[in-house]
Amino acid sequence: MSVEIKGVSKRYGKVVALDEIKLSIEKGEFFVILGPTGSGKTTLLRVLAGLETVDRGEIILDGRDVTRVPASRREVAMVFQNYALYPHKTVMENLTMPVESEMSREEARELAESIARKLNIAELLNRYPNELSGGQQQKVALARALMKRPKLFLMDEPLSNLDAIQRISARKLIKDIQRDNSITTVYVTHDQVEAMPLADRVGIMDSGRLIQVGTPEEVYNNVANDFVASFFGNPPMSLLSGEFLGIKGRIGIRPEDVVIGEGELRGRVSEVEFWGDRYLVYLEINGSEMRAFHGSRLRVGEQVRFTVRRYSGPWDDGK
Amino acid sequence: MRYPIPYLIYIFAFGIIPFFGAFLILGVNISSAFSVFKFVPVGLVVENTLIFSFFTAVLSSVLGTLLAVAVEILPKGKRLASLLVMLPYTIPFTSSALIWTISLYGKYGWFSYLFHLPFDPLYLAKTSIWAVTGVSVWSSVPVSFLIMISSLRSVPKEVREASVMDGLSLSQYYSSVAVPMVGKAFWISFLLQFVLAMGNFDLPYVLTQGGPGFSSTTLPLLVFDEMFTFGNFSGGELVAALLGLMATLPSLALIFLFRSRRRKYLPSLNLKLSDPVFKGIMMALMGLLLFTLDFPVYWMVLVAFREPILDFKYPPVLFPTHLTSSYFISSLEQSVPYMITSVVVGLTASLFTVLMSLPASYEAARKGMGWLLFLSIYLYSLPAASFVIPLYLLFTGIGLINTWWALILSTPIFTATFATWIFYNFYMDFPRGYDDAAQVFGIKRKLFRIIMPLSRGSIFSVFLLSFVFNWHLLFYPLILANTPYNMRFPPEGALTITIFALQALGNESLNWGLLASSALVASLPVMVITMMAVDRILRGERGSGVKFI
Repeated sequence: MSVEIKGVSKRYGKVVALDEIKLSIEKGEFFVILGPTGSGKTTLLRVLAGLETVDRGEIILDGRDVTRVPASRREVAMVFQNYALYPHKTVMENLTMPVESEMSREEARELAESIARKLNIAELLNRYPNELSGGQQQKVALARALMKRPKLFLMDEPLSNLDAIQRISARKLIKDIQRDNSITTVYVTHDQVEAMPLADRVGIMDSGRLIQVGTPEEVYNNVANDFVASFFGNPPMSLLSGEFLGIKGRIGIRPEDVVIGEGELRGRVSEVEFWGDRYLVYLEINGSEMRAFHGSRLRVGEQVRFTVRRYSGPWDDGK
Repeated sequence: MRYPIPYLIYIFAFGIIPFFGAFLILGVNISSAFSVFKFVPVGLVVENTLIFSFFTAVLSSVLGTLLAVAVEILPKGKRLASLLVMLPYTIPFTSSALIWTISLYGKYGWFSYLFHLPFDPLYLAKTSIWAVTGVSVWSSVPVSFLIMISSLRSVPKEVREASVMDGLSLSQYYSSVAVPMVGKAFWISFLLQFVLAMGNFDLPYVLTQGGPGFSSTTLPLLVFDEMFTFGNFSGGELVAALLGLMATLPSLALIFLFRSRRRKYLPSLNLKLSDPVFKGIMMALMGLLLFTLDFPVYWMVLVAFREPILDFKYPPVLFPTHLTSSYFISSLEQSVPYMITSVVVGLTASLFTVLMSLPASYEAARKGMGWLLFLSIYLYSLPAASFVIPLYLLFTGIGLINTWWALILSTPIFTATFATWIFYNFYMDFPRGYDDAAQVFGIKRKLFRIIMPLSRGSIFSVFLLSFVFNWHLLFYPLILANTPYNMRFPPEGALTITIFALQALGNESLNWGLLASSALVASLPVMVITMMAVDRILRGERGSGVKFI
């Protein structure tokens, strides 16, 4: 299902949650909305779902204007952050509930079983949600969303209740499901570590506005402004005054673009972190701090030479 | 294991010993005890008690649930509607009974008139127990509503949203998701109302005095009758023991319910109605119920402030005319000594309640002493009648009968146990980090310096509820006091405001204005406080710290 969002605005009292959002998402695309808490990303998702109304603008799904269509008739499914499974119903009942008005009980059970088999939760069908681990609950939530054979999959931070190890496998699972069924997916997160590997394209939001849209590579290599610079990448760019390079204004520098050990610039090592395959070095230059990757451990306090291969900006200091 | 000691000593002295004392005293004069069976149709009284408790419990829980759902689907005005539902709760049982006396009063009462009752149901042996039960449902619906609406609130909003995405209609959501999800709260409401109704002395006592004959006598009333009408203490003890044993069953069920970890408590109904139809039905139902819940309160105020020539009129005059404040003012003046007693006893007993139960529940919640919670719920739900005779003998023995002390010492058995229940739930959710930090930094007297200030909201709510509960009491003051406060020092006499209200009934000729004024005077001070407390709970403001489950 293709998604088109045309100039959508929404405010809660004086707070502008969505400010003239324009976005089109193609059929089968995995689109990640990335933004900090309060940026409006979840509101945007809920507007797509039909859980919130808009003040202005239109939402077009597959060419059909659904701005005023209720949630259940939009052919979309949603996976909630806390899964929202019904605690007093078994996994099987949780799965069949979304389709009970569309098909017979037998058909619903067969469908639930086949989806459960695909997700490796067939043996859990008679259990209750609170007897399951976080990862299993998440699979049930995904299975429930798949029951309606949705054309659009909406996910609201579905990994945030899982621990770091489970996240990696769950991430892969979500991507597999999306690809196997080629379902258009809109995925909301505040964690760019999730966004980069999952997304076909990513949209970055701040204060109700969509700041930048592009493939993860495009955004990574060409940040639109200092907000994106401070938000995207792991760790994100160091933002500092460009004075030491003779540039007016603030610039952003990715840690891999700093080469330690050569060049004219000098800085002092103030901290070193071990990152497995390399070290993250904190350099102090004229009172400001810059992060850099380096292959070996440096001594804290050491003076080093470095060069900067690339930078983004400059942006106005005042902003 | 230091903090719970005062509380444990207290409930031992004023709860457990009197409860078992009842059985001991019974042994002293067993033959006269069993004479009860000769003079009183005990079978009928037990049957009445069960009818009264069962129907109070079922109807108030069902109606409370329906009202909670209706309020939840209101687009706005939830708070106002909730407070209107809670209105009967603000009125002491004594006043409720008085209002209903003049609401059901033959063809002159508004209820009999509007609902075409050809007779006063309180005066017929066939109907009296049902009429008393009806009034009991009226006064119990608010508590069930409060329990149900706070539980419905705790259903995560994502669950509602998931049901919207699944295409469930509003009626399907409530009948198959939300209400079954809070099924445990429903049964807690049911059992709680059941045991509380079992011990309800006030309503039958004020409405019918158990008559005609024994047709509306319940067990707590019989305890009182045996003691003060027939002077048969052993007989009263026997009935009290019987009542205590009967109440134990639902109390234990309540405790098991608290501990149970089932997932399904109520069946899913899957009621398929279109949203406008469902909303329409719920709104109509709510309108009817709100009218029945609130009109009596209006009636009380109306009758209290008008000329008595309008009282015995057919059809009854339902709108305000011929207003006068003379009855109200004279009631208010006469009530002063009673009012002072109620205020002093209420404040002291509530303070005492908080000071005992807070430390106890704090430590119990921290150390996982679940038994303390269950013991408290058990004692809370036991009827007052099953403790009272040993206490009466004790206070007579040490010369405290008819003093404030007798009430201050004896009444916290109800409020402290309830407070422990609320505080225990509060401290179960209280972040452990505060204790750990106090421990790590070696902070002394952490209970007073850290825990209590952080529990302010909960303390305030508990204090208000204790005060209100204390104000409503009728049974204990009726037995432990016999004159009003003498307005001198040293204070003597301890009749409370509920008894003041009751005296309006004793007048030879029934004066509606006086009766309604007395009922209003007894209710007014706590109506305001109760509304405050209830509003705090309804807003679920983090600080209110009241959770039933």
